[in-house]
Amino acid sequence: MIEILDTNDSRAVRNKNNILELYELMINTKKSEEGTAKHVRPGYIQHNPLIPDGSVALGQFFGRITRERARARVVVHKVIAVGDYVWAHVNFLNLFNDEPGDTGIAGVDIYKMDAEGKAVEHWDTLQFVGEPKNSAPMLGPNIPRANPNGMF
Amino acid sequence: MIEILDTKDIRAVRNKNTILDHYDLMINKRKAEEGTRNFRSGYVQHNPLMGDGRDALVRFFSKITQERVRSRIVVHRIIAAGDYVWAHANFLNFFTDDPKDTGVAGVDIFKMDAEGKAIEHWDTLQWAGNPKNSAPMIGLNIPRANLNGMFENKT
Repeated sequence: MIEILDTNDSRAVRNKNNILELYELMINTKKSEEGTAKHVRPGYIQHNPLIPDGSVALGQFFGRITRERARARVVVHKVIAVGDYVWAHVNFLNLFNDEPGDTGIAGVDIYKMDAEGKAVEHWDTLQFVGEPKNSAPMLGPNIPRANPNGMF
Repeated sequence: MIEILDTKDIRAVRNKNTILDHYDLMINKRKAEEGTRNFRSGYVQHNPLMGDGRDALVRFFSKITQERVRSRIVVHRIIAAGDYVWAHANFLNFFTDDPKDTGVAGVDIFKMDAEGKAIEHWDTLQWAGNPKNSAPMIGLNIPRANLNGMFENKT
């Protein structure tokens, strides 16, 4: 993981650490409700179209997925933090299937944090990673990757 | 547009300005050559649809902006620190001429070198859809679970 921030900016460091712990609790250790109660405000504004507003709805969404999908996990590849914002480039794996070869979803999550380091608003953009022979499933099947570099 | 950076960090300010200038020239003004003057020829591309290098980027966007008269980008928020610039943007009318197109929501991640030239790029892209068809990547006509849209600021 690459961390992009001014290490002298204690607010950015704290916010980044809170979001990394949120991912770890909410997804990888399957303590979704604990993670969201700890790091997300009850009135959290959600821009992901599939999830309602609020910390409880977020905890329920990931609680259900992580209970249903034993392999569900997130890998954070890059995180950038400045001021009240933390943005993370991540790979969500096995959220929707149990295949060990799943390449999952590439996403960027954008979190706005309050003065106390709790998440108050969230935006994201998500796409299926596919694989080199089927690299852009959002546009069409079996579009070969135009470069050898992977998504992350 | 919200700009998220330390305004005393001259490297981050320079890099952010370079990327905003890039978008405006390459897409909105349809000057892809001029708009990539701060991109290295060996630019490493992670978007699966484009080959490596500045020339491939120019070809890709020149074709779209010539074919699609309404094609444009709106940058909603941008963050910069160190060698990185990340932008949350709405690409509109890239694949259709429909004036009501809601386009593609994306985050672009650019890595810049010490001279402020772009050397590597990653992105994640999804159809923005609309409140009645909010997640076309997953299925048709999934209603939006909140009232907030893909880009708006609510806090």
